[in-house]
Amino acid sequence: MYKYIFRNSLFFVSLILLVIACKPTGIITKYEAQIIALDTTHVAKDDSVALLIIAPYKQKIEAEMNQVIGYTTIAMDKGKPEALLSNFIADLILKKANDYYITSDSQKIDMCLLNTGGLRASLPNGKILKSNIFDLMPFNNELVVITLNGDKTKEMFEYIVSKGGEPISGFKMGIKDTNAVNIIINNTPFDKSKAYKIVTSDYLANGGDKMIFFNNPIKVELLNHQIRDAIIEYFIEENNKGNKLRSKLDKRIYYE
Amino acid sequence: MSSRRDFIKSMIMGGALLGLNATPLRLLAKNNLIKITILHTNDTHSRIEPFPYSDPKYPGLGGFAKRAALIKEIRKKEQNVLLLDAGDTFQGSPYFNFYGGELELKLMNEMGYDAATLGNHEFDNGLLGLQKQIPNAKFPFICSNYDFSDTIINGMTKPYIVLMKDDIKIGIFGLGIELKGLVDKKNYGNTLYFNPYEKAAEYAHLLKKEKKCDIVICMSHLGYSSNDKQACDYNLAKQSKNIDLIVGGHSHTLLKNPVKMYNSDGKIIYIGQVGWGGAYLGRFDFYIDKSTRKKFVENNTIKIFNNQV
Repeated sequence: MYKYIFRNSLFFVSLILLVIACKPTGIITKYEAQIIALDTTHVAKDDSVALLIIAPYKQKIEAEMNQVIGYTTIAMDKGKPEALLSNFIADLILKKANDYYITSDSQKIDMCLLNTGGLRASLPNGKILKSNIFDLMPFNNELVVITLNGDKTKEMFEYIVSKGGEPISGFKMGIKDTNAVNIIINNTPFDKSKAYKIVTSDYLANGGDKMIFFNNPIKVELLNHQIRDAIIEYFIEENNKGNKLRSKLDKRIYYE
Repeated sequence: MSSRRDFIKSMIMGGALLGLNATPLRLLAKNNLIKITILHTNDTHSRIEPFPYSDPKYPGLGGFAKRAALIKEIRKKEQNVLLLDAGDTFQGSPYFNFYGGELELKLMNEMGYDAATLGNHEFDNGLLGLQKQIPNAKFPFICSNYDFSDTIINGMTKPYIVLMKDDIKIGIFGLGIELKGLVDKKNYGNTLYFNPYEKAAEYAHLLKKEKKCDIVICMSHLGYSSNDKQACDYNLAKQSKNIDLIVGGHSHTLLKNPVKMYNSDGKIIYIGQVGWGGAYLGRFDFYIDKSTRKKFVENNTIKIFNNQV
């Protein structure tokens, strides 16, 4: 029989105590359990030696994280079917990925697809700190270029429809009922006989968020750059040029 | 016997003895029981600072300094403490991005870890990252199913260790998850992976039968459960022999009560795993009768609260 006693005080430690009774043979035959709340003001304090070890590291990290890397002129948040933050991040990733990418066949990266769920915080209007980008993108996901045939690319568009939109760049599409329509890639209508190059995260390329259309592609190329680093680099580059960053809605995904 | 006093004290402080079977208490009084306290963590993921109060799952919990304080308190009360980590110490906060795991390992030294195994995220800065960081640890990394012979970290891990606590012999080995498909090949290089069940059988037999260990512990980064294709702690326990305890990781499973199972010999084996981010500390107390070498087990999962508002 289990009996639970919960105490929600910060000064208590909850302790599950499970006592197992044994027969002389050493075979465990029965056990009973209960949760016991212990007064633990003595363990609820941080260890002072550990705090001393942490302090210099923490100072440096806070200084680093508080670095201003650039400025925005508008607050940005994610959303569907498109949104300021989603468009902004997808556009900069497509640009940075093409900067990193050394193509073996003269074809550049056509499109970018990310996932709304992967954008973990909004960006404020004004000063952007490095910590804002760590909040936005805490994962260490790498950029990957996937080459898909026309059929699989079509599956990707249908996936985006099923999700009601995702952060994309390099193309526009309409949603009509459950279909992707009027797909324009780099000012050219989608051609099912063509192969396309899509930059995404290694997480999504490996089937994360059920992006199964990325399975068994024509080609996978690692860019050896993390998404977060690409975003930080972009901010610093634009800031060095004196550019403040903005974003706009351009009906890249729209309902017909 | 001080452990007995503390045991009784904690029961009284906690309230009524709700139908608790008194057997272990009576046995303790016999004075020939040795108590081995096994503390374990997993997937602490560079969470140097406590979880923020806005965290939906572990609000305000954890923090390395809090864990250090708790472990030091336990060490004051218990003579025979063993402290283990089941991997993925690295990755998850800027502390790892900036320092590559150095601070995590220094703090684990301060807490007095006895051993740890390598999780998949320990490879996040490649074998070079491990080569640089392993020397910062004053405790051994135990990997029984990875072969690093053809890598730059050859000789920097051990396949098993044997420790003595009081006159109890404890054997520890460690299992890692298949890296292919999970970790970028460039990060693990020529590391060879072997079937964890087979290596577990080999090292558990060595430790229990040849080295005559009283307790055999497996630190596992396989994950608690999985589909049939992938090895996991649950299936390992079921088909194993000669292992008394699996302290697990990888799946971030919070086992509020330890899982008690029977192995393929019909003997009892326990599995513990304590979520992630250092929100909890797992605790098992093994009581061993000096004359018969019989074991009795208690388990605690300790929630680490943060009182720094």
